[in-house]
Amino acid sequence: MNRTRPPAVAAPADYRFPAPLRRTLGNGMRLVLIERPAANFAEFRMVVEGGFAADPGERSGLCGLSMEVLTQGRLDGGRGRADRFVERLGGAIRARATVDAGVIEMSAFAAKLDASIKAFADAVLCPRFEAKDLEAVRAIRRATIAREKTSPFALALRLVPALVYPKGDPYAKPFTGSGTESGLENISLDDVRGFCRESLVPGRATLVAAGPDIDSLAASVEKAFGAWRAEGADSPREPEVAAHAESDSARAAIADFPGAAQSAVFAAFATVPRASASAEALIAADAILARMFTSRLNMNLREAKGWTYGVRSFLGDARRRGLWIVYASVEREMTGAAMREIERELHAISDGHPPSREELSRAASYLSSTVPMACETTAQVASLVADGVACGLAEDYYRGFVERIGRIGVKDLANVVRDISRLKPITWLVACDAASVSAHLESSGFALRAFEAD
Amino acid sequence: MAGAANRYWKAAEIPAESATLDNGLRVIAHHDSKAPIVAVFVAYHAGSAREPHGKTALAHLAEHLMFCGSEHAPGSYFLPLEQAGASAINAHVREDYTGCFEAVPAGAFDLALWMESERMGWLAGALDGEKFEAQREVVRNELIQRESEPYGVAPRLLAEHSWPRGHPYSHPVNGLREDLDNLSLEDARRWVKTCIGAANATLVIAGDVEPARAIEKARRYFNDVPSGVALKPLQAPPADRAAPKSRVVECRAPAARIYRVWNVPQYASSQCAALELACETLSGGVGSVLWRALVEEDRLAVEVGGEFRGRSLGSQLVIWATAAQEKDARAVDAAFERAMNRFLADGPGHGELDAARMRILARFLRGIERMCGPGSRAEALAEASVIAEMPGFHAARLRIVESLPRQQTIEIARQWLKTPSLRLELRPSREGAAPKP
Repeated sequence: MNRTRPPAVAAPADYRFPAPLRRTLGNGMRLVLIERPAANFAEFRMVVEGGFAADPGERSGLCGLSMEVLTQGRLDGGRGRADRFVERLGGAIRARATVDAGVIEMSAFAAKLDASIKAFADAVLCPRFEAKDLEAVRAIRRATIAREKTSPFALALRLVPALVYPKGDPYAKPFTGSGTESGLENISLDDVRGFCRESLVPGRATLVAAGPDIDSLAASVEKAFGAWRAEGADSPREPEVAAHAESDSARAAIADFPGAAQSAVFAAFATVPRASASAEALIAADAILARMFTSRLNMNLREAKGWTYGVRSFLGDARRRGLWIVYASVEREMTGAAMREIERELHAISDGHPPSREELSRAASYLSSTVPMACETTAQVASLVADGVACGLAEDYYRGFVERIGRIGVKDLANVVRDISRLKPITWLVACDAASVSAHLESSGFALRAFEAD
Repeated sequence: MAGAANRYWKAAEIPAESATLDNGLRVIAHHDSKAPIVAVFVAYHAGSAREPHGKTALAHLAEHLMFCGSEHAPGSYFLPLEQAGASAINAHVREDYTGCFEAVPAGAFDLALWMESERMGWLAGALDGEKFEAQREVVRNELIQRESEPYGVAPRLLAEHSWPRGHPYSHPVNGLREDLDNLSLEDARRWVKTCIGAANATLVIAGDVEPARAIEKARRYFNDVPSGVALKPLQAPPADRAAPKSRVVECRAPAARIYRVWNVPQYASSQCAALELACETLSGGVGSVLWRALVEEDRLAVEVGGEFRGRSLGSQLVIWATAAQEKDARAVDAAFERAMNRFLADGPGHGELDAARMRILARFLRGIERMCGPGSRAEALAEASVIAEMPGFHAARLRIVESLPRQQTIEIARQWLKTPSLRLELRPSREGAAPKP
């Protein structure tokens, strides 16, 4: 065959994100249903308003810990622990705290759906746990935090919010959702019971359910959750708002990993609410700058210079302000140079080297295909919708995503990056061997202070 | 306790059509029009097991070079595909094969076939010293980065100490840094000549294209790809189970972790189903034997995990327990041993075994919901071709998992799981001391 030219690419077919059905039960619980014909699994996400942003500072980790205790709650009738019971049916129950919501998830094997739904509802509605259960979970979470501190990216997620958001801000907490070590030790059984009483309230909850036989699924869910009544307040507890104004001064810190041969470099920014008009421009900018393999930073630092295995990025979606981190593990000797390149590329995209038509079109193609790819599994669809609900997106947000991404222009993109990164100095966290890297960084023009203990 | 209905076990079957081209390329095509996406997966039947002695990391480096352009498609492999909207372009080296794959919008299917055929047939002419050195640098950074994660040294140590010296599996799939530093461009050329060719490859197509059409297109784009060398199957002596090893190593880690490894039959053996069931019962989740004993009852560990690793030349069970803060690793290990002995003596309960069957099935079904990526349909079909030359390999394996009687499961477990081949303890390095490289 003639190999002088690659074959043409046909225009991508229209892919429609599934249309969710939305209901509100008599008790105020919102229900979002997504049909997945012929699926072997049904997925459930109970999204409870609050999240770790609502944790009081001295009990940071309360939401995540309480959610995890619930998953291990004892079911009646000799069924034992909820998570163990569902696991025996081929499913799984887990919990996590995102910034704005606590989420309890269940993956249920369709063969065992009714028993699984009943167990899930019992765990949420009638939590049964004692002091020893709390202690068991506390021990596991201690280990989780310790582990996060030994992994560069997890450590960055823990530390960066305190650099990026003002002191005392509800978002200035570890973005892993696991809270602080001191917070974990301060949480009492009464605190956890109090959290469940106040937060597990139908009026503050949205259940996302995806699976086969939507009518039967809806009926099972309504039967299991319809009688849910709780005494807590219906209006969400407002997170404490920062008393201090945002600081303009540079925040830059080193986290010491003695002996590390590489420096894990993180450039972090407070961004826009996920539901804001410019959030999608940021997603496109992120694709062009760092997310695609052919992004500016990856082609620069990895392919052209060979300083790193890869440049990556993290977009933390949130209701009030998002978190954006661009990062790479680079050769130690190149730490300062890599930081200069990251800074240069971030400024250039909004000033001097705007995205080309080809870059915009490539980003749009790439992002468009992430929608069907993100809908391959029932779990992915449920999580996508649930995470959207948690940060204020409509349940059918993704139905128009591809068209909106296709309409983003150079100016939208340049403006959002400029707003985020030009108005004050970049916030840096560098996890490295401080002894050898600090002096090197100072001579490169970066003054980083050691990060205070967590 | 009733198990999963028959239709769920049937759902593990991945219907596919097969063909073999004149140049030896095997083609497997599976149709699913749930989304307008096609997964294209090429498995080269040469993985880290084929690396010559002292030249580990060669397969990994060659895999990187496959993204650096070919004679008729110079430039980055990623660019045309990302322009066309592909969003999952990657590759990995395993012991028995190297997998290269992407998920593309259906309209870019021809482009994906063209790109894959290009690098299968015309990679050699585009290799040069500059690309070689650049990618060696990237791979070096990758190896360092992976080992910088907690327990990041585990793959290297497990491989080295759980296989006999010189065994094709006795080094980590991504290679050793000391070998990487000594590789030459000539080594890479030799690898490409020997291992990257149609006669050594399986092309899997899964997604929104009819199998007949997929195979017809595969012919069009791959017919002129040179056969290359048809590799003979690898041989290796079975792992010696008479000489168990015990090792303690310091590394970057928040807490001690104990691994136990057992060497068991080749993946194609029907005995593996019993061992998968044993692994699942012992370590699969919060209801497993070891979780209940070590995490819940004794409060010595904070987690237990396990994996059945099915491989061509020999499989392994790998089970680990991470000690709770301030708990002695020896106490964890002793409890681990006690729980294993109890399990081998009493065997799993009927309910426990049925639950394990269901979890193994559920895990497989969850994986194959996806066309591309870990556990996906494309990967399952590729692996079936590599291990058994049979697309139905996994469905057949799961049929045994479903129906194997309890007594037989216990007997096979007793035969193979008495003494681990390796007991490895990873211990946190002292505060402030440099972690071992």
